[in-house]
Amino acid sequence: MGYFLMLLSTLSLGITLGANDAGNVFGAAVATRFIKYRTAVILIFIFVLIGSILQGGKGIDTLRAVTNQNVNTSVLVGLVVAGVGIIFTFLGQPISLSQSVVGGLLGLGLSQKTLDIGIIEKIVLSWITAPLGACMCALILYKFFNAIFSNLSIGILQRELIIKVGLIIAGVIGAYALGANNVANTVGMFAGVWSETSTIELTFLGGASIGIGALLFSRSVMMNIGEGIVALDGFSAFVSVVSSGVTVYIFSIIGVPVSTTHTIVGAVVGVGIHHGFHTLKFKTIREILLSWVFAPAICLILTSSGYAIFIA
Amino acid sequence: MLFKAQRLIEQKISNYCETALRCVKEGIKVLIKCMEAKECEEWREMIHEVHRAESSADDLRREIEYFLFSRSLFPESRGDILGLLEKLDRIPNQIQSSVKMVLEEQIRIPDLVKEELEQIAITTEKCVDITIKSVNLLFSDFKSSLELLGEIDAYESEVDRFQSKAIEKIFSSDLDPLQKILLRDLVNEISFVTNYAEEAGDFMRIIIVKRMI
Repeated sequence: MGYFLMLLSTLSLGITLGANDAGNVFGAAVATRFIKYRTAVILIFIFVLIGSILQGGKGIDTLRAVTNQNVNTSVLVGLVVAGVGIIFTFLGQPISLSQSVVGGLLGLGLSQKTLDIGIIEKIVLSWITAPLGACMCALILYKFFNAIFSNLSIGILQRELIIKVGLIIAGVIGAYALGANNVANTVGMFAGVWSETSTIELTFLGGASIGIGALLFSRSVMMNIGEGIVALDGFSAFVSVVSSGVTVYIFSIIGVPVSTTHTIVGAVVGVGIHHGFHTLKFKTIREILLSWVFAPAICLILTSSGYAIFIA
Repeated sequence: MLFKAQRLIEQKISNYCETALRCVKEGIKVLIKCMEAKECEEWREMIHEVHRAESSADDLRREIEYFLFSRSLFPESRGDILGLLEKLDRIPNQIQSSVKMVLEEQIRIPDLVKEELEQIAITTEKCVDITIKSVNLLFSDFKSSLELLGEIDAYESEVDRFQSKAIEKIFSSDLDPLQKILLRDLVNEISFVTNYAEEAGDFMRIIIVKRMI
């Protein structure tokens, strides 16, 4: 039963992650019709799997060594986060699943009386700095790329082709990074327990579950990112994706872990600000911001309650 | 595959432009000959060339539309290209309609407006020529196309001036009232060509500007 629950937790977490985070890498490209939804999800599936297998093992090995949660608490957090993630994904809201995991772990900390306030500070700081940074980055990069494109002697179809190729490359890199960075979030919690399972098998399981999530359930979040916040054109979509990637890279150099969900939303808002505040759909932005607060908060409450009911 | 598709579309549009321009040039030739000659009958054969060119342009337009619709290529430019083709297509249609009007309604052009009508015809040809050049530039260096669009407007204004002058002359003459109306309609009919060229130019301006913001 324990193994079944662990497998269920892994798969549901992976599928939810794939469904929700696929929008971060190809949402803008799909919503602007530059890349077909089917093509995008197939590319995500392939490159998430490659990223997981080639570079996801390190994260799993690290978690295998350092995880201090037992099977019951890991299953509880996994199922709660997956459940909350599924709900928000079906609502089309892009949320940060890693922050939901942190929310869940905070709930456990609250129940086990080992709550670390520092983590909450980090989450709140990340909510503000990541989207704000991506927004600023998008404003700067929009002008930068616009200056480059303005100096090119190209036709309208060549321009579109450059943007399309740029979106595919950025999406493929994003999908690879999604697999490499997040596969540990799906199977890492149980890596210590599944000691007989090889790392490559675990990365395949995690990667495949993320890929399946993207293949089956990613459309609503993708469309919300690419259409819901502001109506993007191809160039704006390209700037958004690149800005999101550059922001994540800058923050990783500084040493602050940020969510790609936060950066892509921030970047899209930045592009919207460039076009004028009137182009922004504030209702969607408000809903997204609320879901960023609600998702970890709900995870905190549910894991805390779950711990009290089933484990304590 | 994408690069091949891009080249193919560009080639098809270039062919369309060439055909549309041929249609306009043939049409203008017929109109000028009709103005020079008292009888237009001998030029009746020439209208077939105009019709053939107009018909070929229609076929090419349909081919491009089918190509763009059947494959999900260039989603951003597809709407713009189809819209532009729709605008451009009015130009050969209009010149054909003007030529048919002269021949079918057997309009004889009196000397008093010959000069203005010739100027309208010559300026119209120049205007369409620049329009077609702008369309071709849209697919090789779209920003340079913007520079030519001003010339389209200038030619259109020139035609407007000749049009007003011609209509004034027609109605201040002692021609038969029915002939006056027919002549006015013919002047307006020919002048519509540059109006459509200007509309295509305005559409191209939007296509370019929205890619430069």
